[in-house]
Amino acid sequence: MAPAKHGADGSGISRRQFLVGTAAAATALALPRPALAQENAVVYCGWGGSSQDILRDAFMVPFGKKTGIRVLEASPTDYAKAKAMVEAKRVEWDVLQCDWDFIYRGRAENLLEPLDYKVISTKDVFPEAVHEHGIGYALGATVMTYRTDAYPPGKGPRTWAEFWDVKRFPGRRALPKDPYFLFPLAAAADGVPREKMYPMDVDRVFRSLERIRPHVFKWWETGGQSQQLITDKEADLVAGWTSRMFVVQKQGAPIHVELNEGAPWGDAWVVLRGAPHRENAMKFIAFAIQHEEGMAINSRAKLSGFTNARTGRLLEPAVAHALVSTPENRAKLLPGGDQWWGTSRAEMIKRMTAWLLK
Amino acid sequence: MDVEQRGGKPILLLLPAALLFLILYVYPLGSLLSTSIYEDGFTTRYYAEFFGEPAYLKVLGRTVQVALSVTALTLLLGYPLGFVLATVRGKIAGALIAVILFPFWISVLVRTYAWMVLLGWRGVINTLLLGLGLRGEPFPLLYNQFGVHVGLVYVLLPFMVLPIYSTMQAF
Repeated sequence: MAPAKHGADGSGISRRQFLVGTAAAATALALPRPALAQENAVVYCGWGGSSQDILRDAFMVPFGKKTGIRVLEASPTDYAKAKAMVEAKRVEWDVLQCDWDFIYRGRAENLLEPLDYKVISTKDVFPEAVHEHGIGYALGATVMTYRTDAYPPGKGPRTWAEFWDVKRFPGRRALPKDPYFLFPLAAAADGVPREKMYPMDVDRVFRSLERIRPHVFKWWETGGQSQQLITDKEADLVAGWTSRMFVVQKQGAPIHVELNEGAPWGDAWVVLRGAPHRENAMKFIAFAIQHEEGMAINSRAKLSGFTNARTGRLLEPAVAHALVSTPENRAKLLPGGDQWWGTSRAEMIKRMTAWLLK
Repeated sequence: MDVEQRGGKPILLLLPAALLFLILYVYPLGSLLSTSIYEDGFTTRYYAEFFGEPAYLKVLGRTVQVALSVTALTLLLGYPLGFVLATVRGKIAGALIAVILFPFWISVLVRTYAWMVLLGWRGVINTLLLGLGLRGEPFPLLYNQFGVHVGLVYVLLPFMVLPIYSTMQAF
């Protein structure tokens, strides 16, 4: 069978024609898609998983009902991705749920729109939550949790120094990989006094981490992972977020959550610079920050602190006293250092990655 | 009777796949590549930054290492399997192929999670070993080189076996 020579007899498509044809088709189809901004919607990007499910009921569904604006969801929050989107001017997320320190970083790196406080009311909102480029809506902490089949409630470690003490408290440990959540724990375990915590003595932190390193079998990267490790019995002791650990505890996992020496963090909303639905994003934040029923749902589910004072009236006393943000509980927590983290977090992540590879 | 004998042009059959490939693979990759070397003029600084960071080089090195060892393992397991497939007759061959292809019907995420259930600290294997009294302490089978290799070899074995099988069949 003689191989056909395409085009040689004048029929069929030559190889050149084929390549040109497909290239042209590809280019035509690769034109920028029509702007999504024409749709009456807002894109919310959060941490995903059970955390986002709760926020959906708390804020997104009521917002949609009240305004008719469609809330499209994305996850998880990825700071590198957000930065890339803003710099490439192809922003897909309007409202970004983030750690409080990102407000400082986002402002420094010009990644955020200033919030429109003509639309957003700060009535009854705690002043420390209000920033030019972001607004805090929830508070939590990174805390010690342990399985009650390993240690009965209250008999496990109560300080990070005890958590680091593998002789007194043996068991498989998982710690967070992100320095923002990890370093305060390591510093406290090494005995750094509260007043001296920030700015951080990073070398001391790494020395402290070296001590615990052989006993940590997993440096967890996502909230869902931390939940899974403790419910699957992979780890007996996990340093995890209150917003995740209280949720699995409610779902029946036999764990004890210890608030003492928790490292505080906050959840905030920011609007990315160049967001396609900027006005709707401001409307969402304006609605949500004044929607104390939503904050109450969030607080009940995750025992997260709220930032709108009216929320307190809606909560049952049992819940209200257990929140991370109550004066008694707040006194137990380690100091926060969002301003330091705002400028140092990226560098610390690099150092942590290098250290883990050693 | 092949396509050419019937007067058709076989190259046309490639068109849909080629189009898909071009739009969904070549174009995005191409634009990513151009972003990495062009920023207000041609620049190599991002590559310099990447290759200048020892942590990244370490990760790259480890990736290559794992790739090599996984390839070696799948070859070790896949070659005899491919050979058997190519030499066995009839129904047995059909059954074996079905067994090798069956995992493709299950989502890779589900398969991976199944391995976590098997290899976990208190998973099936460890519970069995402890229950039978063969060992006092569980084996760490997950979150280490062993677990990574098991997972990768399992998922990639069909990709080794099938080309070997089809090549051997030609003889």
